[in-house]
Amino acid sequence: MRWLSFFIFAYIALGLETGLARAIEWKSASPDLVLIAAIFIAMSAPRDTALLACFILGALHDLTGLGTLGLYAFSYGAAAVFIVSIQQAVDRRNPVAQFVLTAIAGTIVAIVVSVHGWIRPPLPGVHAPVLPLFYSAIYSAILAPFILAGLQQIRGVFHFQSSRGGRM
Amino acid sequence: MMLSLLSAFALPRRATDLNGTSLQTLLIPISRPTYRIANAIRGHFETPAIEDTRDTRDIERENLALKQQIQAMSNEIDHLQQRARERDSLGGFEAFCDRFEVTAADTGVHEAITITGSGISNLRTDQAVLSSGSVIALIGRISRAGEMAAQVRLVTDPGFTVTGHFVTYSAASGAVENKDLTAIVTGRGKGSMVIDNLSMDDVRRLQPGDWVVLSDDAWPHDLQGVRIGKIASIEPLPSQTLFADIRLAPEQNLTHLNDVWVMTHQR
Repeated sequence: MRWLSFFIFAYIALGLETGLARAIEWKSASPDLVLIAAIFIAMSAPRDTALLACFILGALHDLTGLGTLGLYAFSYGAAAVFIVSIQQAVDRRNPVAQFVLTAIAGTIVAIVVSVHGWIRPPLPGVHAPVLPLFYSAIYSAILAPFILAGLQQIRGVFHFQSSRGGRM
Repeated sequence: MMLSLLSAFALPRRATDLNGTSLQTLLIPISRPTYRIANAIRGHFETPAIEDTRDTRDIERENLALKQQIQAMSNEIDHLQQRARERDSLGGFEAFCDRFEVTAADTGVHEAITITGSGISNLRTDQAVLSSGSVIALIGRISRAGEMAAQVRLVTDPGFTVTGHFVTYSAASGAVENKDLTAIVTGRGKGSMVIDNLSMDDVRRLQPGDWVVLSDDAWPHDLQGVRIGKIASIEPLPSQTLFADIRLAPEQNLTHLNDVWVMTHQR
């Protein structure tokens, strides 16, 4: 994978996430545009490259907020492990597959973030609401086929390799 | 993966909790125009929800009372305008604030916004942040100040704590401050705050729509009495039914603001 393209892509995804996601939220649920970007990479890149790229996207997501360092890095990494394990079995251009994968990946992220919120609350007895995280997963899944269809058109700029083992 | 797992779940919070980083500043070229355009479009289509389940006759009676009140208040306006001019000459707390533009909002479980503008490098951590517009309310404090942008932790962020007291309103007596009842307001995320330190008996005279205003020595003196949020609901606390679970909502969605005031200096 061409890493320069990846970092420009990550920059745009994070910028859109911080600028757009809250403005288009519905019932306190906002789409996770960075997760959709991670899913695009996980579906397209070789296994190790995909895992590393998703981990970096999660770490960058952590660094843009007030949260805990490593939380989204681990969540996106866990979601990427799931996606790359079934990468060969799914048609990456199929909107239904894109919807289902995003919903499952979003649910994985929501579970990890919820568990973190319960284990390590900001104050004793204060827990952030978890339902919006799961609504966000559904919202992201609805948007994913449209965004991923657009991203498939620019797939060439990433120079994804079909063989396993990415090139740095 | 293991490192991130350790960082998120095992290492001490003081080592891993981020109070914002300068990465947010680098994203401004993308996030700023996106935030402005998206909020402008949202504002064009969004109409504030009208939720009033009362009987029509009650609303008519209230309208009549309000008309009479307008009449009585019109005389008072002249007097208040005179006082406002006096206050301007003395300098209200707005005189100690600078205005900044909101460029992005945190999208994780935390509630925060990023602000920028001229003079941003003069901001300091923990300075108070207020909403702009017709009603000025306390919305948070600076959690990280950088050279080009600063992050504001919002009052609705889970764990954000501030104390205040209630202001109730009635047609008969107008706005009445209840300073005997100290409320500990805690952010609960997703645009809400909670007060759960008061018994149901304490809050029997409160009702949805009443305001909570700042009454906290940890904040600047000039800000005391500034609005924090209004009561959205009062119910018994599920775990301790003798205590009240008071839900507060800010005047507006704090993650959709375009501009904010930061209290940069004090009297």
